[in-house]
Parts: sequence; structure tokens; C-alpha cells
Amino acid sequence: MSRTLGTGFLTLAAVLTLIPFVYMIAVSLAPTGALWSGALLPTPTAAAARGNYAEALSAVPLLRYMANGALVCGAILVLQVLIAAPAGYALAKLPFRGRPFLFGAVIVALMIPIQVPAIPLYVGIAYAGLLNTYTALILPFVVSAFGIFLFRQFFLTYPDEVLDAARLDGFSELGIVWRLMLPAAWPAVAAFATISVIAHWNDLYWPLVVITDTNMMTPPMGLAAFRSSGESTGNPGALMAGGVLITAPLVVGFLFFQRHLIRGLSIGAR
Amino acid sequence: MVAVPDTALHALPDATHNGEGRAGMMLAAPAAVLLFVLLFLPSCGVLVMSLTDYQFGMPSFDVVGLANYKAMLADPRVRNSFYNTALYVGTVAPVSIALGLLLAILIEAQVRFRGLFRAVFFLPVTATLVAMATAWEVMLHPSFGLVNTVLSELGFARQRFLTDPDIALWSLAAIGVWKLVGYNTLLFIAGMSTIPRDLYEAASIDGAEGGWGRFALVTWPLLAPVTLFVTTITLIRAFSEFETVAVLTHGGPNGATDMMLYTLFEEAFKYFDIGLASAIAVTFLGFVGALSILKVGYFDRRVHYV
Amino acid sequence: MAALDDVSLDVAPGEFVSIIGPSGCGKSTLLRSIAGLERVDAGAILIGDRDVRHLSPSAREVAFVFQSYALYPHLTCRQNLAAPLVMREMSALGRARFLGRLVPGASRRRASIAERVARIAGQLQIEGLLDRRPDQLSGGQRQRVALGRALIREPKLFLLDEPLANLDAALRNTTRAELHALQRRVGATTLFVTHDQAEAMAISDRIAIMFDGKLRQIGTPDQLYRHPADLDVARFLSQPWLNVIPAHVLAEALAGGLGGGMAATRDAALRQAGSVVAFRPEHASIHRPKDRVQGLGVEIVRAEHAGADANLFVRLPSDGTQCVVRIASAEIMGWQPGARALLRFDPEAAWIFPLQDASADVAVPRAAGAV
Repeated sequence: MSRTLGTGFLTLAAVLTLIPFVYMIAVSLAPTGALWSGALLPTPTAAAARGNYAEALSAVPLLRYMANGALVCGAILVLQVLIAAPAGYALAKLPFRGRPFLFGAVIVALMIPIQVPAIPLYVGIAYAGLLNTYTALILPFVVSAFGIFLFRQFFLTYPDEVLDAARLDGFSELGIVWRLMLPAAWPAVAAFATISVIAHWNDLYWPLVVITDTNMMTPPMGLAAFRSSGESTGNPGALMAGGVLITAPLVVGFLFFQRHLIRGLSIGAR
Repeated sequence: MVAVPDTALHALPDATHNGEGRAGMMLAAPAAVLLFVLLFLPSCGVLVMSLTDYQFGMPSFDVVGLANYKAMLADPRVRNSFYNTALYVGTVAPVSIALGLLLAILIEAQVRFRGLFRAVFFLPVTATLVAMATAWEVMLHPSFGLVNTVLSELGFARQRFLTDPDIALWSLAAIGVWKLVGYNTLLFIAGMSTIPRDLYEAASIDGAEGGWGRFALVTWPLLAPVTLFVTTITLIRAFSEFETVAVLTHGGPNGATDMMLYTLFEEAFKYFDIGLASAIAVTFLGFVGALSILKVGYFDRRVHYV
Repeated sequence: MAALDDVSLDVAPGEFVSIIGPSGCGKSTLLRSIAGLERVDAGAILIGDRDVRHLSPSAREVAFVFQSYALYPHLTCRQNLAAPLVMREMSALGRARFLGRLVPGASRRRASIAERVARIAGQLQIEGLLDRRPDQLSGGQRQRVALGRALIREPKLFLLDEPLANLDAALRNTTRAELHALQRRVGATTLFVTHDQAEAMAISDRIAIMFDGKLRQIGTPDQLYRHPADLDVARFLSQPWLNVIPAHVLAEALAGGLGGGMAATRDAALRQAGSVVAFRPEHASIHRPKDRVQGLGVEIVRAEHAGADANLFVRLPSDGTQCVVRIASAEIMGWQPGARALLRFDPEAAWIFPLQDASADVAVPRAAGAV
């Protein structure tokens, strides 16, 4: 009895959660007129679907935005790992002068959201003439305190004997990081990659600060611009088509890798 | 076997130790330098700016003490924005935490489809909020939106969800809850999976068999650290709401949905009132930083009670 | 979880029965089934004369002590001890910290619970620990609190699932004795699961021994020790070593004139193919060839010092079967590896078992085979 009630409630909640997705897809496939029919979901037609997606791709350079997003997210992720993994290893396994101080700095850095240093960063980037560049989109995020912290926590559990053995076998310290520690910490890497890509693909704040050039926009910023451009006001179908296109990569990726991603994202809670 | 001279054996640990120290500094240096240049320096910069009358392009500036903060607290826009933020956070955080816990408990009690439910509730977390906000906007459209269609079918009046000043903030709060619940559910499920099964068995022998007894005796107290963690990150996320305001309402109608980060963004990068914006940024850091201390404390202390 | 197959066990009131067997034999499953933590597909579980099979765990009036103790980590010892009473005797509203005062009779029940907690704490000598949390206690102290939580309800049946396994060796022995004395004093019918046969021998009225989900034998410790029902039981109760010699090897040795009258009474049985002769190291003796006693010719393999005693490992030349002989440790130096010797054992203390399966396992006794 109570289990049936629970299942009923869960099903209702699941339906409510899914409605925006279903509605977005349905509208993206339907002619604008169908929205006024009074039906709960507009009826899709092949012609309208083609029209909406074509409009979304031609009214604004949506593919360009997505390429920008992929490039920025990829560069941020690679640089974050390149910088955070050795630092995490040093904090976990190599006693050096200033290590407690650096660890304290990482903890403090965890507490500072990007909006706080944004104004001076903007000033600096503007003075350097880097507004409207990929550098401006990538640079503030290349060092991730969360990444350093996460890698340190994972590396701490790695047995010291193996490190000593690796040193006797001729590994350099950097070689230990790339060839021993990172492969062993792949759940942490996967979790970190997930969190990083979701955060930076979906970010709107920072692109709005440093980008005004239409060609340099990221997907959310491009879609927001498309929405307010007036080109979409009479055509919700095209706007929804754009939404489907920029949401699809992460959602499809999530459905493919969800087991790993959920485990990774849960790491913070265990 | 290779014979190793005695001296070499003794020299080895020492050399390694020094080597480790140097290597440690080398490996940590890029992160340390970048943290300083990209985060700490500009964060201190914003603190300094909040105490000066600096403006973009000005060659010099004067220290004005707490004048920017006084101006901030007197500014009707900022006051309204902080008030809205408090309402938004005070609604979204408790609702999304309680709902997340409820969904987690119900999912754990399921025999089948646990993975399916988990995935469904998690979808909004991965989805691009800007895109989903536009989808919500169409759903909430006054004349043809799905929600209003349903309302009028049920005999209720249609609402201007995003343009009625009395309703707009609550519409954004609903979207916020929709966005945050899944992550909270996931964190609660992860936390519940670490509760030892024999505690539930002991509870069932001790007489706590009903759902409520089990919950009160075992689940809730053992979940307390996770609940604290979920509460802090939910508060931080709710405080940081920006996308829905920036995309759907621009703080309107008539300031009804103006919130802290949106005000900060506009004052800094639209009106270039750097002193005021810096003061808001520092205030924002005060809220979020205080919450983060709780969060980081949890990170570092993963084992509880035992 | 191991499956149970046709287990039938009858326990008298006040009796202390141990359930032993190798890991995975189903002993914990049996205990958990009785408690109601596992579902039973068929059969009956009678406590007193009430069939509890369809009752919930708490309605069965059993108490369970977990190997991990399963104390509620957020509650003090006092609250842990009181938990079973509070959950059963007070309504959900009465349990609430502040609202509880409004419920009629709640304060009287609270007082009665506090009194019983104090009494049980006195019995277990944990009065000084009552306001601590489990994480502030040692393993032995936690174990007492877990026992107290089980005792406080005055259950009809006491179920203990390896409650001593997480204690260190010294503490295990003293706790074992205390547990036994406590059970005698309280008189609670007790089922005690352990994988340690010495523990079971030391404190049980009767022992039930299980293999592969089946009950093989049940009896007093002495019955099981002297008259094991089969080779598995004999092995399990003869740790670390049991000597097992294929009967045909012994028969051939005897026919060769080596054994003479040593096992004459069993000579006929020895000729049956497919049986084995088993005896314990302490029932065997070793002799020099010049002693001119009758015995099996063996070769010394090695000796292990074990304090007062020593274990001497020998090998039968005919098929390489290894045996172990208990000797005084002072005699070790007299038995150099490779030397020839004569092995004798007490036929009255030896058993003949049919070979349960024809696997090679028997030809090389378990422990000696590890040489």
C-alpha cells in the first residue's frame, strides 16, 4: 500500500521533471500555429521540424557557438587537469616547504566563487586587449581549487611503497603523476571532468562579461542572444530547436555514461 | 644482486627527501602561481576597489572607506534585490532539500526502476539551464503555454507567470527547485548507501519496523552530515541564481525578480559602478564563503560518529 | 547468503547451543532466519509453542547481537540500551523530545525504562559508560553494550552472531567466560554462532555443526569430540590437524607384517576399499626402529615447535601420505629430517569413515599437505 503510494508519487515527480524536456522537443518539431490549438502538446510535422531546426541554425551561428563551447570546455578541462594533478600529488605525497600554506590557500580558494574576482579579472583582460578571445573565456578557470583538492584526497590513499618502488625503477616525479597516480585515480578524473564540463558548457555569467562579439559566443550565451534578438519572438519552434541542439550533447552524454557520472558526482557526498 | 656500498645506502633516503622537497615545489608551483594571480590577487583587488572610488579608465583613485557599503545599503535597487534573494533562497532551499530527501527515500524503497528514477531526476542538473529556462518560458507563456492550458482546462484563471510582479519570483523559484532537486536526491541516495545494513536490522529487532520508526531511529540521524552538506551547497546554489533572471526576466517586472548576482552583473558590467559592484561582490563572498566553510569542513571529515 | 536445506534443531529452555561450521555453511543464515531477518520458504520456526515464521522480527521476542554490534552511533550507551524498550513501549508522540511530556503516562514509562537500563548496566558493569557514545568505547565495552541492548528486553531467545569475533584474543577468552556466566545467571535460551570450534567447545551445552546448509551433527561437546559423525565433523573439531590414512594403505602395511596386532580389531574393516582411518596427533606416538615396537614405517619430514609440545611431520613411504604426531618439544632434536621411524596410534581413539567423495583431498591431509 505505502509502496504503491511511493511509486505513484515518484512517477508523478518524474513526469513533472520530464515535462520541460518533452515540451521543448515537441515545440521544436511543431509549426507555430499548433501551439495555439489548445492541445497539451503541439502536434509535430516533418516540414515544421525541418523548418525550425534550419531556422535555428541559420538565424544565429549555432554550430559555431557549439564549436566554441567544445573548444573552451576542452581547453579548460585539459589545462585544469595538467595543473591540478601535479599540485594534488605534491600536496598529498611530497613534503615541501610551504605545503601547509598552499593547502590552506586551496581550502580558501574553494570558498571563492568566480563572481568575486570577476571585476579585476575583467579589467586585466581588457587592458591586455584580450576581450572577445578564447583566452578570455578559458584563462580564469585554468586553475581549479576543487580539482586540486579532489586529486589530493584521492592520491592520499595511494600506497607509499608503490611510489618508492616506482622511484627505484626510475620514474620521475612527473612520470609518477601521469603514469601511476592519474590512471589509479580515474574515478576522480571522471568525476572532475563531469563537473568541469557541465559547469563550463552551461556557464552564462563569465561569457556575458568578456564576450560581445557574436562569433565568440558560447552556446548558452548564443541562445540567450537568439531569444532576445527578436528573430525568435514569432517563432518559439526555432528557439526550442536551438535549445534542443545545445542541451543534447550533455544530456545524451549523461544518458550514455550515467552510471559513471552519478558515481563520480556522488563522491562529494561520501 | 648488485652490491651497494654502505655509504650509498645511507645517502639514499636523505637525497630522496631533498629531491622530494624540490620536486614537490616544482609540481605545485604552477597551481600556486595561478591561484595567486587569477584568484587571490583579483579577490583582494575587489576588496580594495570596494573601499575606493575607482572607475574604469581612471588614472587614479581615492580611498573612500566604507562609503560604497553605505551607498549599497541605502540603494533601493540593492535593498530590493537582497530582499528578493532572501525570499528566493528561503523558498528554493528548504523545498528542494525536503523534496530531495523524500524522493531519495522513496527511490531507495523501490524494488524496480531505481536507476530509471535516479536518471530522470538528475537530467535537469546536466541540462543547459539557459535552454531549459527558455523551454519553461514557452511552457509558462500567458496565452499558449502548457501550464496555462492546463490551468484553464481545470477552470482556473490564466496567469502571466513571468510578467506579473506578484508571481514572477515564485515562477523562478519553481524553476530553481526543478533544477536543484535531482542533485540533492542523488547526494541523499549516496549518503543512505553508506548507512550499515545491520543498523536497520537491529532497528527492526528493537521494534522500529514502520517506515517512520526506521527513519527516526537510523536514517535521519545517520544522514545528518549529508544533510548539512546538501543544505550548504543548496544555499550556495540558490544564492548564485543568475541564468533564469538574466534570460527570462532581466530582473523585472519592475524589479520583482532582481537578485544579488544579477544586480552585481549589471552594476559592474552594464553601469560600470565599480565601487558599488565591488561592495556587492564582497557581500556575496561573505554569504557564500561562510556557507563554504561548512561545506569544506564536511569534505575533509568524511567519516562520522564511527 | 548461504541456503539452508532441511535444518531441524530443537533447543530446550535455558540451553546454550552453539552453531559452528566453516564460513558459508549457512550458520548465520540459520540464525538470521530465526530472527526474521531472512525470509524462510518452507517449514516452521517455533519459539515456545508459537510459530513465528510469519511474524516481524520485533514480534518474535528474540534478541540479536551482531558481529559488528550495530550500536546506533548517534545515541549514547544509555539511549542504545533503552532503544528496544522505547521503540516498543512508547508511542511515536511519546518518544518526541518535547511533545512527549504531553502524552499521558509517558513520564511513568520513562522512569520504568530508566530503572531497567540502570539494572542491566549494573549487571554488565557499564554504569560508568552510559553517557558515552559508541565511538568513545573500546571493542569490549561496545560488545557489552550490545549484549545489554539484547538482554534488556528479557527475550525468550537470545541470538548471538559471532559476538566475540571482533575482540582481540585475550579479551575474547575473558568475555567468553563472562558471557557463559551471564547466560547461566539469566537463564536465557541461547543460540550462538561461531566459526571457532574451541570457543563453542568451551561454553556450549550442545553444539550443532553445519556443512553446506545442512545440519550434520548435534550433541554435547564431548559427544562431538569423541564420536564425530563423519570425516568433515572430525576434521572441523580436530584443528589444526587430523591424520587421515587411506584404509588400503594401512591394510597393506599391516599385511606386510609391520603392524602386527596394532589394529587387529579393525583389520576386517580396513580391508574395505574406499574408507579412511582418522586419528588425532595427540593419539599417535613415534618410535625409533631399534625400539622394536610394531608400527608403520615412516620418514621424518620436519618438526614444528609449539611451546610445551611440538608437531612432528612424517611421511608414509608407500604413498606419501603425511601424518602429524604430537611429541614433547624437548624431544625435537632427536628427530632429524630424513630419519626412519615407526608411527603408532591408539586404535581406541581412531575412527574409520567411509570416503565421502573420492577426491584426492583425503590422500593428503589438509594441514599436513601444506608442508
